[in-house]
Amino acid sequence: MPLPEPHDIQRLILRGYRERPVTSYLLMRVTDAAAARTWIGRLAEATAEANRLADEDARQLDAHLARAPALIGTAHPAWRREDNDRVRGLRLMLAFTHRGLERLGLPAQVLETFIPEFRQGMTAPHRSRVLGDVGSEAPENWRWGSDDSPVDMLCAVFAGSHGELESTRLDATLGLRGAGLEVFERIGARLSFTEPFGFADGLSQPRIEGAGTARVAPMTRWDNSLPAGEFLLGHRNAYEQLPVSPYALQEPPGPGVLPRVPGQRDRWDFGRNGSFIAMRQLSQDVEGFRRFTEGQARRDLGDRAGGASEQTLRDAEERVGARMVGRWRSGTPLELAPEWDDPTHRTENDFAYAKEDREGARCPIGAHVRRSNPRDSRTDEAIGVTPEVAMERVNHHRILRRSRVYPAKPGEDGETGIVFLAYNTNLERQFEFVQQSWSPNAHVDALPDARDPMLPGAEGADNTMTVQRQTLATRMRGLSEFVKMRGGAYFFMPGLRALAHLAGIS
Amino acid sequence: MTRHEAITILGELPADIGDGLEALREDLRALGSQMRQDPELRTLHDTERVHFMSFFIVDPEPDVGPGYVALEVNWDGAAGDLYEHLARKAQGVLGRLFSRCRNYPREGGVRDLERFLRAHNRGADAYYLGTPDRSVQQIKTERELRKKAAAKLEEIGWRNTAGHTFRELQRRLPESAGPPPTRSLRVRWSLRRGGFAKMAGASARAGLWVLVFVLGITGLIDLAVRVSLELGAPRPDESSVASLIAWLRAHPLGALIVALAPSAYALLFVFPWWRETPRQLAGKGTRILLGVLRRKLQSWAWRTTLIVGLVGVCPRLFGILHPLIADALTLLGGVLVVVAVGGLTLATFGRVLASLLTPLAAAGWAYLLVHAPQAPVFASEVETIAMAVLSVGVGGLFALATLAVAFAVIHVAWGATAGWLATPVLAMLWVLLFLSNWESPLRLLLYWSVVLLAFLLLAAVEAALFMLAIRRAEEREGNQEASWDLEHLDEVQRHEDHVYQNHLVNVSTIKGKPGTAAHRLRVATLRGVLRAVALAAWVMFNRGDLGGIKSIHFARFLILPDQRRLLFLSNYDDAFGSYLGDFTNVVGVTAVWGNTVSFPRPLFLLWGGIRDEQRFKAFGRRIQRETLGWYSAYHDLSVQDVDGATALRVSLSREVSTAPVGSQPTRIWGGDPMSEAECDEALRSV
Repeated sequence: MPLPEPHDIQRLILRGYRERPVTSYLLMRVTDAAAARTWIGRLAEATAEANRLADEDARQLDAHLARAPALIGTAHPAWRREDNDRVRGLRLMLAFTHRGLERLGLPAQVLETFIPEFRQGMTAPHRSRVLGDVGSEAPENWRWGSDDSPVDMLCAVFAGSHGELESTRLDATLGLRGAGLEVFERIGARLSFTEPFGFADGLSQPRIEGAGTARVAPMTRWDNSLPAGEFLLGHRNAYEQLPVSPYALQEPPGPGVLPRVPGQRDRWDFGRNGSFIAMRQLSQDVEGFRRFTEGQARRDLGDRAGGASEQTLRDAEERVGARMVGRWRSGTPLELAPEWDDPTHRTENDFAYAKEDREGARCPIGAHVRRSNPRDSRTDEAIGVTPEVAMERVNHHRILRRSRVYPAKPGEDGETGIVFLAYNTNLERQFEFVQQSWSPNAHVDALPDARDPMLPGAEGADNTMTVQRQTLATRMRGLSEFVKMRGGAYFFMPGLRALAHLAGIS
Repeated sequence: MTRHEAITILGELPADIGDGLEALREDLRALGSQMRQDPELRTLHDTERVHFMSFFIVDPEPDVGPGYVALEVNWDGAAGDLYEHLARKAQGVLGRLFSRCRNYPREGGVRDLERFLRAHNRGADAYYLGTPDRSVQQIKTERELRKKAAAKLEEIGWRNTAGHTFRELQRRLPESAGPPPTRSLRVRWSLRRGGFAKMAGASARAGLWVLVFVLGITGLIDLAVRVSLELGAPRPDESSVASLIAWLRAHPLGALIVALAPSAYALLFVFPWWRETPRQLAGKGTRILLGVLRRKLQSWAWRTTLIVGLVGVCPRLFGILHPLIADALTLLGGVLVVVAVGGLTLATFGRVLASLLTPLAAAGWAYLLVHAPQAPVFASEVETIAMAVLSVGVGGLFALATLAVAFAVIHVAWGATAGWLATPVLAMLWVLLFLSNWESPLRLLLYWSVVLLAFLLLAAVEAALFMLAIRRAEEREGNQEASWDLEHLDEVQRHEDHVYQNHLVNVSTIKGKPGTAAHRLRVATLRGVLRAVALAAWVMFNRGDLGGIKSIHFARFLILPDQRRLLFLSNYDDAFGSYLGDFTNVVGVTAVWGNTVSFPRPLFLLWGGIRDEQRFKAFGRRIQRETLGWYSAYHDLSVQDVDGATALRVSLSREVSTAPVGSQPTRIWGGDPMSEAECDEALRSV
């Protein structure tokens, strides 16, 4: 069944703006709530108008789009023509932290109905332990998002060209002057199918049932489609329940009236078609990673390293990296090509672990992709966990990623990294679970290594990575910290009606 | 076998404690932060008998129940030892914990303190152990062994095959492997994982074996009689057992076969239990030979028995219909015997002997068939005995099964004592029933069926009535929405996720106003469910998983003395969310917490509820209480780490030839454990 209200959903969660490869993430603080609400309201209204026109007449929509310099992208099907069409104007995605919603004037009653993870925020002390943001990665060392540098609102701007995102021009286009919003951090980023270390990225995204984005072939080895409620509030989740969604007790006046909470007469759903975002800016030490893989390749080759040809060394190096990630640079899963890259499987995602690779001889159990999505690895027939059951349980902990790589232009000076955005409706069960119970876990599956080699970790620890093989295992030592936290926050991306409601608060 | 004791000492706070409660909480929080520094507490940990320990306060709730100070200990050995230790060496700690409580002997001596502790230990209504049969010391020793093994492995360097590496490891770690694991542990580890299906399968197999055994003996007796007849013995007197015995006396060969047959079979059946021939009993060559023989016999025992049984009994049974059928069956049996003899010799001794023996067997059988075509006729008494044996075999199993069910039902409904008392009585009834009807197995089976049917019917009616009552109660209840109090959340989360293990205290309120039928129904249901949980934890979930959850070290449910609240304590691995998430896959959890207030609404006690994951977790947080002090003897180990280390020790202490090469060595490097100091550091920051 298709999603019932596509025009109410901010588009980014369903489709990633491939036609607009350049991004600027504007991190903002509210300085004047009324002005900020007006600014949001104007955008929401223009977008709602476009939606209305799209319903009535496509030609009128074209004219409207030509006039509007920036709109919030929605999932309205008429807009899908943009994917192939000439790109016009900017598309935005707006999301708010709990603090931001509070400062914009959302009543306390509504604020209290949000899930606790979002209310506490990413930097609450307990959460830092959960997410591994401790020691050198602790929030006080972040560039943004900590209590010293709080963020209220995220405006992600997607554009076709770099010029449009030049800061003065962008601010003028968006009308940010006098909008009551202070942009305190801009992260320029770009669409890229490989992350900075050079590995293909974003290959195993879950498919949202009803979203109509099934461009991939159906899976035979595992099921990758999930109920919409795992990513969008107001829809049934994997437990066939409606996820906890914020609501208002008073009937909202004015534009874009909120829908009623199903089965409740006196509650209005603020969360419907919204989603929570875990955003993390991660800088990547490309040079350090290269040095490590090279050194490890030499150690692996042992006595043979001295006389080895350039090609042999390069192959060994590739193998080291692939085992840390679980895929070759091309994207080929190790599971399908454990010894050599086989680019015919480049974008292959139809594979599982339980049958042929319980012990991690092909894809190490501690590899990044296997840790962050173990698929059916946790099969244990003795206690009734068949591969299907294992898969179903793993699917309770999936996230939808919409990440981009920074800086905006490849090769620009300064650090490189990834702006990681994960959508989910239940932060504790999805994003935090992956981050706490899978990525850094050394106590299940007899994993000896304390953490995912591709995630931030405590500085100075003796980090290891074990590579299980058919009959023997080897261990990489001295993995330094290749990835560092630069900033992060939990955002709520509201639906269009909720945005209009927020803007209409008096 | 290590005995574990779940101790929960509940000291009741006086109603007039008032502001003293907060002062007490603050003091216990301070004591908790000194868990590893306080000298008295240290003497307790130094006993190496405390797995986990915690203390906390159950707040008084007006109209519900008084406040309690609680001390939870998971202790190796008898509870009395702990009382004695606390009373003698930790009086200061006891005072800080319980001196505000009623009946606490403030000026009393050691004996009074012990008496107080004994009187206030409420134990547990349902208790689960994730790492049964292992003492604190053993867990720590095995942890060291694992560390050493990992270090040795780095030394050996994995240059060879896994098998080679493993033997090398065994050679280098002779002393660390320690004594072989206890017998009970070995049996448990060698048994397949629990679960009703598996148990049912096992009993069905056992039943089949008994049946086959009986068939085999009858068949052999039949054969013996035939052989004796061939050897010229007169046909036995059919009239009485006495004359049959006299006949057997007169013909020693027949008697020998008759006597040997059961013994041989008994041996065959006993053999499988000797999993390994003890090292000290025999040399290597003998052991290998014995091993081969044992395996052959095992694999062939039940098949040959079945064949002999069919050959012996079927012609007798079905020959009544028509003599031709008897002949046909005898012929078929002959073919089976020949195939069996051939196959067995071929598999055991090779082609040469098989090609000699098989024709011999065929010839022997043909001779028998030609010379004694008529099936020998037994005395009617013998017939009766055979049928009685049959009915004892089949019926006995049946009786055992009904007894097990009855025990479980009585245990759940009225408690363990009732179960243990009633079951022997029921068993005696069965014996009486059998004795009065043994000569007529058909009637016996009829009785049994009637009793079972009546039992089932009664149970079904009661279950239906009960479910109706529960459903009516459920329909009246509203569904609590998910909401969280951030202040409370901060309070409990402050103690979480410092190390891999966590501690959980939950206090939920049982549904229904006190004194009403609704409340009585809920309390009775809860008691029954907890007994069922306890039984399941004892019978089924004794191998490190609770309905598939592999992250619980020790957990317990306890209905507080006020009968209004349910206490749940757990020492578990990983995160709160992950732990409660695991619960959503276990049906039984709804049956427990479904009887308490604000749990997501269940459907017929068992369904719904827990599957409302987010509301269930909100409920879990709402009923959570602050753990004021917590100690774990090995907080760097998960349940799987503990099991892994034991598995390593078991395999290291085995003979080389049976070491499970392959997967095991790749798993030795389990969880690089945090050092004690690191754990201390992490916990101190609470």
